[in-house]
Amino acid sequence: MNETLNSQLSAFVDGELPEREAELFLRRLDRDDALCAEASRYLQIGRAMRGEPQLPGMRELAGRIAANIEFEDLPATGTAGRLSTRLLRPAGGVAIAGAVAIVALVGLQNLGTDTGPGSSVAAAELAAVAIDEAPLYTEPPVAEFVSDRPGEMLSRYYRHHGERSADMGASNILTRLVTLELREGELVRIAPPTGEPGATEAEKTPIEIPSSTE
Amino acid sequence: MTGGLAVNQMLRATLILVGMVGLFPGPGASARAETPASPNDWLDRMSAVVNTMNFEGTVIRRREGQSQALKVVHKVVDGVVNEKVITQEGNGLEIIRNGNEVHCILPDRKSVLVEFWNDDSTLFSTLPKSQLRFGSEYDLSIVREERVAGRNALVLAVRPHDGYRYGHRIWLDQETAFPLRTELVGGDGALLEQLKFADIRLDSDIAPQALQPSMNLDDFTWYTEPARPEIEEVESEWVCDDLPAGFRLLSETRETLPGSETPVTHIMYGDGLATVSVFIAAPTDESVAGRAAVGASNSYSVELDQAAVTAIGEVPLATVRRIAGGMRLR
Repeated sequence: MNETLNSQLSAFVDGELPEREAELFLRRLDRDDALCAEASRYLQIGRAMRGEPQLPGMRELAGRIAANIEFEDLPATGTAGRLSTRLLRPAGGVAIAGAVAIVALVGLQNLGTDTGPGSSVAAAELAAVAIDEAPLYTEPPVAEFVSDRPGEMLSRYYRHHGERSADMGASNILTRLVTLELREGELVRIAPPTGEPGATEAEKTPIEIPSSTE
Repeated sequence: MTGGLAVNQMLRATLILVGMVGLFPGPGASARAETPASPNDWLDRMSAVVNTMNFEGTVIRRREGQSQALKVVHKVVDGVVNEKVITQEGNGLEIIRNGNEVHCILPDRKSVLVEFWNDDSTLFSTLPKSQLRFGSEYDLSIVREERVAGRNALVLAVRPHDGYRYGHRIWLDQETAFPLRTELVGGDGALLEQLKFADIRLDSDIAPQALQPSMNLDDFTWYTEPARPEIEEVESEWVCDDLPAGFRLLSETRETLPGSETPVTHIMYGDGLATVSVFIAAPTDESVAGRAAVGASNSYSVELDQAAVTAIGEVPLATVRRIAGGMRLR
């Protein structure tokens, strides 16, 4: 499995794959037994790490489903039914055949089995695994001005936001690199430090700065 | 290519092994199953380790579809962070940090920019801390196990409850809780930024020379920032009456930014992880209503009540648009 596919699988298992990609991914799962097995394994690993019991008979069940039991034939009542609907949604009405259903059933079995204290965790995991039902932000049609690169004032705002966020412990080196790229502005020349970095003498003489510091 | 295959095979083997542990748990696994460490426990360990552990390695940074390799050396001496970051491609930028003082060396410009960063501005300071109240606007969970930089890692997912903030994924070294890989994830699942160690040596002995500039700086020109603007705490006459859930007022100030003569009102909102700044100033010829983006940071500007209002933050466009549009005079 290449890195892209692996990333897609990770995002799918985390419920973070965009809906359209999830649909394509589900179709791929339908065709690719190895990928489907890997997805199933990811879910099992999650449970194993949280100390949740494995599901007796799950592998056999998966095998049966692989032999073309349609997902829609499964009982769709209560929470399991709701989740099955959620898992199906990305497929956009495409019939989901065996391989895909294996992944879904791993979770459904979890919900249908009394696993003691771990069961709520399992349910939470499934909720996370399913494509999120919450409405996601969709980029509206843009009729307004869209800037490819911030102007001088906006750059100032970006930089100042980065600095103030840093004061609140919310900036990191990535933000710093961004602000560095935006620094075409008002730097002042100083003398090189004479000793330790802390001993910098600020002999501040305004000069023309380099055209870009990138 | 062969290396990639080998890594994939190793990853696969690890997954199979872990899967087998799950299917046939041994005594150790059984003990872990009874008292699994909570995600918050892992974050506690992570917070401690990033502030105290020495490390060196190669970090791959991905943003806007582009990758950049950085060599990183990090050493803590008596609680003071010493760090050196060198970009491996392009202009060869070097960032050398000694406590709060940071030297940004730009070889292609033969320039050094001296900046003063605060204590929290380290490679991983945007990582969530366990004190954050997860469960309000974000969920935190352990989702799986993967290999990163040749080490076993647990994946922690920080999922927002709505589309008004980004999510995070953090791969923590199972042995030390060190973050080996971090990702900023958009509301539509898109990867916005990624920081990933390709190789790493943890708790290694780092010689002082490793933290020195890699080149002779004799003929370099040195620059620094102008004095930071004076910041005056104020009670602003502006308020946002349409804040997304979980965002709260953090600060209200009046400032004159460097390079500008006009004071602006600066209001900051935060949800415990993401921050949004709102700048309010008199409209000028330069004021343009609309949106812009730098990396994962979005901004949205609008003219309201004869003022130019701009919201900026590492949040989705919907968030800055809603906050900017929700600003009103009290």
